[in-house]
Amino acid sequence: MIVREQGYVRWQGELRRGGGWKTIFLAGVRAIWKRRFAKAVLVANLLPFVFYLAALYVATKPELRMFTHLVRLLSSDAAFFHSFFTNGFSYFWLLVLCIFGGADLIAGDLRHHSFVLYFSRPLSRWQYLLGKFAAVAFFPLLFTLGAGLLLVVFKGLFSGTWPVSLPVFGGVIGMSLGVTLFYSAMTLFFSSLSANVRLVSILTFLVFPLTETVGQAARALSGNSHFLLLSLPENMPQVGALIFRQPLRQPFSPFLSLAVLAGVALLFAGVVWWRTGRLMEAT
Amino acid sequence: MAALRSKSMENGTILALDDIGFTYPKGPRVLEGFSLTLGEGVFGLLGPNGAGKTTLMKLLLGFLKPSTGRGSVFGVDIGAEPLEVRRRIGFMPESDCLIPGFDGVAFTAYLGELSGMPRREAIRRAHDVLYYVGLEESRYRRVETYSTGMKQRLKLAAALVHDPRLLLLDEPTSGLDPDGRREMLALIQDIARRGTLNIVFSTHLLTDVEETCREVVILNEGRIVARHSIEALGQGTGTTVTVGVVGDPAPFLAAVQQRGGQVSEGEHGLFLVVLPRELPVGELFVLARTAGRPLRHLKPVRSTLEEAFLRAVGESA
Repeated sequence: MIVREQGYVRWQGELRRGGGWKTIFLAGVRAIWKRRFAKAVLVANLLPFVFYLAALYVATKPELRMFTHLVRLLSSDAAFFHSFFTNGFSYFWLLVLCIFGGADLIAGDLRHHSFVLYFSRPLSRWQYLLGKFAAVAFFPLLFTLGAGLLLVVFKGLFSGTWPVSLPVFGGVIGMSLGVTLFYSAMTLFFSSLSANVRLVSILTFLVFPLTETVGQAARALSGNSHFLLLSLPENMPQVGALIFRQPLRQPFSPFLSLAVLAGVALLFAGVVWWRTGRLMEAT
Repeated sequence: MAALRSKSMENGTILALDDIGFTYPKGPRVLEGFSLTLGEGVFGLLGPNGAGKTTLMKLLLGFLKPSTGRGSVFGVDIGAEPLEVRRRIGFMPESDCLIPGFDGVAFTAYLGELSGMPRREAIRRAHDVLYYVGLEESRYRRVETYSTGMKQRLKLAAALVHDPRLLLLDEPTSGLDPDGRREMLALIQDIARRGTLNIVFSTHLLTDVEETCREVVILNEGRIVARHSIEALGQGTGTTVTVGVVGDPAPFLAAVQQRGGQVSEGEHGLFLVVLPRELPVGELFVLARTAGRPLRHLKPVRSTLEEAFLRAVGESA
């Protein structure tokens, strides 16, 4: 007898509690993976890792010493990883990856009025946002933390010794988590502002050059380098320099940069929390 | 709390609201002094636009917190434990909503998983409920390509997937063509007939309520203005009749009005008479004989839901 002829049939299972965020996370990751050009974006994000891995290999092989003068960053582990985490190419593709995977995470729900479907389930706002955050952070984390840890492992394999000092190892973890956290919070922030995914993508893409322009212009007009604190691209290497104990690029305290980035990330998180609360009420 | 739940389960109360009030920030008071207790069964929430039906559903789901009063669903406090309440509820929203990028099965299973079902079970159950609502042919199509009628069915499937104990339906026939509406009501009737699920059905379409519900609660301006059993309405209350007399009706009508009856002119020389409770229908024969005008026509008028609705809303206004 087919189900329809049987009529409504009850389900005899037991509902679990609290796993909603994992469902959203896994669905988000699957959706990103299935997108057109996903593999191309992921490969582009892999390029810095491949480049730095090659550099590591060169540095640890005496027979290839003739190339090492080309790799200035190999002077120390800290300089190497500082460069890996703060180079412009990585930032650019990481941003593209976040936009590609995360711009529509909340904006899409806004556009299709999905909030009512989510929140009529036993799902808290916290779980919803954690699931979305985990989905947008997953791939960036692969290319920061995953790639960073792999570089540490490969360095050990190539050199045959204990790969890096403990502070550098901590720096690899701290920097990758910090960068991923910031980018993911920023992506969700813009995604929660509008139902228009294209607008969200443009805004997210422009935030770095815009803050850079404002910071540079303010410094040029005033002659005060502290105005570069307004520039997100200037603050990231400053914090990187603090973590990996490298020479500072700008003549102001890296703690100020850290405070700026942490404050902005908190602001992003606060706005996303507030926005989703408002959207819940409006469903 | 556990005692409250077991008490609620024992006495079969699915919903208990006590003096609930709600005001939107900087907005009007939408619900005021709202008290309602529903036992098991199928109930219609009927009211004009702005009566507070949707706000009531949002309160039940915990989207909004009541400004005053308290309420429970199956003994679970709606303000304190909204997630526990939602585990027991399947909600079919009125708005055109979906989660893009999914096909029908993935969409329904996803919402089942979000309700707490294991993934494999959710997928199996998604197939079952999609079959049940008649989307078996389209279950692998992306939900964005569904027609309005298919989306309504999909939302019903999604509301059923985790087998809730209470189904909240917000205007389920909204936007459907006559065939689609009939099929949707047939599905709701089928669910109701099996008596395994309790249903609260919000609508402004009286016929939908008449066809599916056991009882109707009429709302207006944030208050309950009437509550009727559909069966009782169908049987007729006998308080409204059409009458006709031989000859000039004036003396008879005057006598009826003197006893508190309300008279209005009907068609074909007949009159519509609304009798007060203290005046039984049989008394009309006595009045007619006394007035010297024998009755030639007397027929009780079925008190329809529409009459009850108009009367309740009219009185409350």
